[in-house]
Amino acid sequence: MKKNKRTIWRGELTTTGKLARRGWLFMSPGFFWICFFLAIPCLVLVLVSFCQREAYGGIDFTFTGENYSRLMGFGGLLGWTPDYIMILGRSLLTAAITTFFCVILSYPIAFFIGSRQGNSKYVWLTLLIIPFWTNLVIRTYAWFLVLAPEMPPARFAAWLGLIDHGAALYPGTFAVYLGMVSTFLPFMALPLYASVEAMDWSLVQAAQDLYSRRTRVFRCAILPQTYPGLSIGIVLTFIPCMGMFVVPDMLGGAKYMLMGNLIQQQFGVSRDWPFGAAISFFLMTITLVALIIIRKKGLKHL
Amino acid sequence: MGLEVTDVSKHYGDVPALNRVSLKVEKGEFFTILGPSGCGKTTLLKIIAGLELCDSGRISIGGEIVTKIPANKRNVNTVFQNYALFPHLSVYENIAFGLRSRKFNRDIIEERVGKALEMLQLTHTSERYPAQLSGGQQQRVALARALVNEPAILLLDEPMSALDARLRSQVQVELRNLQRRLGKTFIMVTHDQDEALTVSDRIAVMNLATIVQIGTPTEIYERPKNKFVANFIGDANMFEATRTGDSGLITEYGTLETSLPIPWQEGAVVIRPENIRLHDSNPGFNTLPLKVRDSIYRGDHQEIWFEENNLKAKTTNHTLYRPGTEVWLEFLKDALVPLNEEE
Amino acid sequence: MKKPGLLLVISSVGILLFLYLPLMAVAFFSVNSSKYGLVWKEFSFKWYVRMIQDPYILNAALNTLILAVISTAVATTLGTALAIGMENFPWGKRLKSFLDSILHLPVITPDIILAAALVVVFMFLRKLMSIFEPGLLTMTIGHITFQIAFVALVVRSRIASIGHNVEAAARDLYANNVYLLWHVTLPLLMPGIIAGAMLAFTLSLDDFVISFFTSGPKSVTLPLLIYASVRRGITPEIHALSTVILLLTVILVFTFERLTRIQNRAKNNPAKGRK
Repeated sequence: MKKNKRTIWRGELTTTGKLARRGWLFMSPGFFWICFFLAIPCLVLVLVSFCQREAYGGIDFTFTGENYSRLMGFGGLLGWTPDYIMILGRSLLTAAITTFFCVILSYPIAFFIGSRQGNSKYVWLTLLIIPFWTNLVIRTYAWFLVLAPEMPPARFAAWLGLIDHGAALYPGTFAVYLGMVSTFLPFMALPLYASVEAMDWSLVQAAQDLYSRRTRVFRCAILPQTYPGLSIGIVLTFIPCMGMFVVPDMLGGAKYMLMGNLIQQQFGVSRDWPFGAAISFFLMTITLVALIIIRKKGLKHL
Repeated sequence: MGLEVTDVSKHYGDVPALNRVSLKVEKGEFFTILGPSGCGKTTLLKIIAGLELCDSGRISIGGEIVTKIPANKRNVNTVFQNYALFPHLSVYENIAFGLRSRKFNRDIIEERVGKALEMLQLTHTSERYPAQLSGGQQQRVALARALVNEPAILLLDEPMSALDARLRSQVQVELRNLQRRLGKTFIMVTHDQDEALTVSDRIAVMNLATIVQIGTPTEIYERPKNKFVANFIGDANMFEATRTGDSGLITEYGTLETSLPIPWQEGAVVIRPENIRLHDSNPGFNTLPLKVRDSIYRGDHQEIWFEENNLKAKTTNHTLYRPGTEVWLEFLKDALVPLNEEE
Repeated sequence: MKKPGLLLVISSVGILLFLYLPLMAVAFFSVNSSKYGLVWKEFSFKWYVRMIQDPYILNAALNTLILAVISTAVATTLGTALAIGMENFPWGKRLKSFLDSILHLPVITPDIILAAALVVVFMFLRKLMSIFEPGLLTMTIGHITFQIAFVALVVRSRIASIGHNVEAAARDLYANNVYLLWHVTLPLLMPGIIAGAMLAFTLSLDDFVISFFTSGPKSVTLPLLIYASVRRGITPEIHALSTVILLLTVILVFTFERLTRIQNRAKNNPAKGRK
């Protein structure tokens, strides 16, 4: 590629230089668009996270590590506070629990769709895909209706004495988890289903000959074959979960803050962009770490 | 007016794909490049087609040097491996593609495509799409698509590989007849020796980026030049020999005589299994008694292995040769080929 | 595979119900004539009539459509060109993996970070040109940024499934660059391009976070409108609106499924290269 060599590429007589120029002509609009509006801004975001906030929400470009120490709880008026760390911890915990429930609920449905034949398979698959593509805001507010005081779930909870009569099941942790799990379930179930579909059932048969116990067959012959889909599902669930702000914002009430809400707050009402950038950078780091861990783990199982 | 390839070399990185390859193909010849996979035969075909550039050497077609002319400006067309038909175009449009891209006038296109359809018995399928055709039909569309352009040379890259074995031998004969009828130069690449022997006027055997022998099917089969050719095409018994006198060979089977020239003092000789005749008693010349180790009945012939160095013979004799029987072997004088290679 | 047990069937249906129950509730109350509370009164389409008379909703629908159509058109063009550029030229291994990671960036970046990054860029751009005030333009740019990557990925997988033998055949049959692009490459890529465009369109309709961060007072889209009305108190018109969006999604998903199934069939065709 380095030298400008004469070559025939796919039956066309040309030079490597000409080819590279033409290739870039095709690629450059899209490539530079992504660079200009995403890659570079992400780097700028990192830069901004080391800046200070000006009065009226501007950015003061003097280098400081203050935003990060604030995120770790230092630098408040009252000395060290665990507020932000608790939000970070809660985000991780929420993401982990949501992912866990998604995994538990995805296995039956993935195997069920995998067991269907012909057209019926496509119908069930489409049924799983539709919520995946339904607008998040609609899906979240729809829970309002189900969890409203007049509806059976809330009445049942009131009858059990879990909530007051006439109260709704939102806002609160329970509602947030319902919203989160229903949002991310298709993200887990679809890749898992793809793995089930690609499964080698002769291995399962062999295992059935070897072990009589069904749990053993499942653990030794079926489960390992779904690990590729599982790792993709975990990436698709855990990472967006960390940055989610719509669901906790709508179903969690004011108290239920996650990292996403905190970022949104800094770029919204608080107009503290440097601090928002610092949290974003933190989220990016966690995303990358999670990706690397899951990639390594996923590869081991492949 | 044929094709001339002179000293062509090609490397992929450090790996040589072609090493100073030269060959001449006469006009109207059915020429086959035969070799195992990875020997460079497909690369050679692509260079002739203009789909690859050679590092050095010269290609000329009909006396005109085309080394640096790309495929879309060469009067050569290719039938690709797996045919590479355009799945979004009908059979008719597939065949018309080469004429349309050169902006031929509509009447000419219609006439020439119609003729091509007829010639390859595709008229009734002209509206169908490639995915709706059988393997044999697809192959004929690929042939028609190339031939409609009236190329000086038609190249065929493993044209039979996508057909099932049953169809293959039939199509081989059809292809041969088509070439005869058109009188066009066909150059085919294949790894299948039967196919090469069936269809070709001449064969170039390739191995490790070089051409090891060029000749008619008979020459290649009956007078292999070296161990590779002898082994790659048909069965062969091969053994070391030392020359004695003009035509004598001292071998592990005793002193044998050949009517072919011996180009060395010490070297290898080869004899095809069917050229070892079997007798119940000593016929007297170039003979040797051996015990049968194994025999396989194949219907029209028998294969017999002897208790020494895997020597193998084929015979159409009606006697059943049971293991342990002693038989007289006669090495036919005209078929005992000294290989002229020093390995 | 053997038949699923009863337990598997019941749990799967239960899980799907868990996904659909809220959506069904929305559709159910959209045809309930009662204005307040969640009590069934009688069947009525009156909220749908109100909805199409509401200037705010109409305006938001128009904005959503303009945003989706323009961003999809731009992203499909750029994404297709990007995919062709990446796949059809002899790039070195290292450059290719670099391009690959750039391409995956919008896919793996949490959308809130993409949104935050866009807020920062537009702040800088605003200092140069006033057209970068929050509004439809900034939203369109934001949407295109993530759409390009998805379009390019879909088209790229299509290119890979076609293989390059067909292009070599076209060259052999005297096609020049332009003829090859128009008569072979693009027609063969078309199912992939359409699938990519539909994906981009759906992503645009679906997006809330990017729009929320980059929108201005005059560029309210449907998801933003619904979100805002949740704050103010939901009216049955919103149920009607949501049901319409839901139905639109269902149609899009079915069309998309059909297209990908056609694509998969094309994968088994004989022209697939062996390269």
